[in-house]
Amino acid sequence: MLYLVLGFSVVWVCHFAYLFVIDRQARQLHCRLDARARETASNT
Amino acid sequence: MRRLLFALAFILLVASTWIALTQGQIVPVQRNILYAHVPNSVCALLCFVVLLVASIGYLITGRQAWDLVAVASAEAGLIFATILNATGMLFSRAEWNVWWTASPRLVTSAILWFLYAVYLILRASLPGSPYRRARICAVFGIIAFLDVPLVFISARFIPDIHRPNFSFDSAWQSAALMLGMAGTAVLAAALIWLRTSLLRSSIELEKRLLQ
Repeated sequence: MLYLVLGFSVVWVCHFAYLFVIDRQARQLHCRLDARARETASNT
Repeated sequence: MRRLLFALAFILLVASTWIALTQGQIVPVQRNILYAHVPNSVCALLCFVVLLVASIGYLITGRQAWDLVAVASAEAGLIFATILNATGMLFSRAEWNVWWTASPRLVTSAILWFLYAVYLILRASLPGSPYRRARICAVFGIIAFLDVPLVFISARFIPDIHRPNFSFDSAWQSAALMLGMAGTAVLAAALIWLRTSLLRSSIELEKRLLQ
């Protein structure tokens, strides 16, 4: 039973870890886009 | 559309788990790891097929979109290959009382993980222009694909502790596995799509910042 629980935990941890990494990259990209938009607005 | 894919993957995986827990339990209980191990193993191999197609596509057309798909599939493939090896080790420990042994299927599966890792390391560390890097990585992706048929045929043609295939006792067990495979495949497609579009947006932003 222990190995079964460990097996399914590995699956969920790996998938959520990768989704977390993708989410962090998307947020960073969003921040950079916002900064770019602010910079363009202040120049005009 | 991407949200729909993630929702579909979630529904399929929950349905698979529910059937596995209620009607499709395998005896002894540790063998139920198969419901996690097999779908992720198949997807690890499928991601390599996508990597191969994208690499060939890039070498023929030179379009960056192919290169981005190749990177995204390698990243997703590394995740699935990690799950493949980790759940395989847990199953091996529970069933055969060893964490790992040098059998053909286990060795080729470990090589699969290392090939994905090497592809991503190569990609991150190669100096020079992005086009040169993409070209070298595409060639590596095509050569590395040779491991996929080896994983598939290893347990079939060489005596191995790992079974080449398995049979179920009931239709519920097959249904749980099929739903799990479908859910994991949809999840893989959604992950590759999401990562590709994120990479494309990031590159477009870099270009605009340089202008």
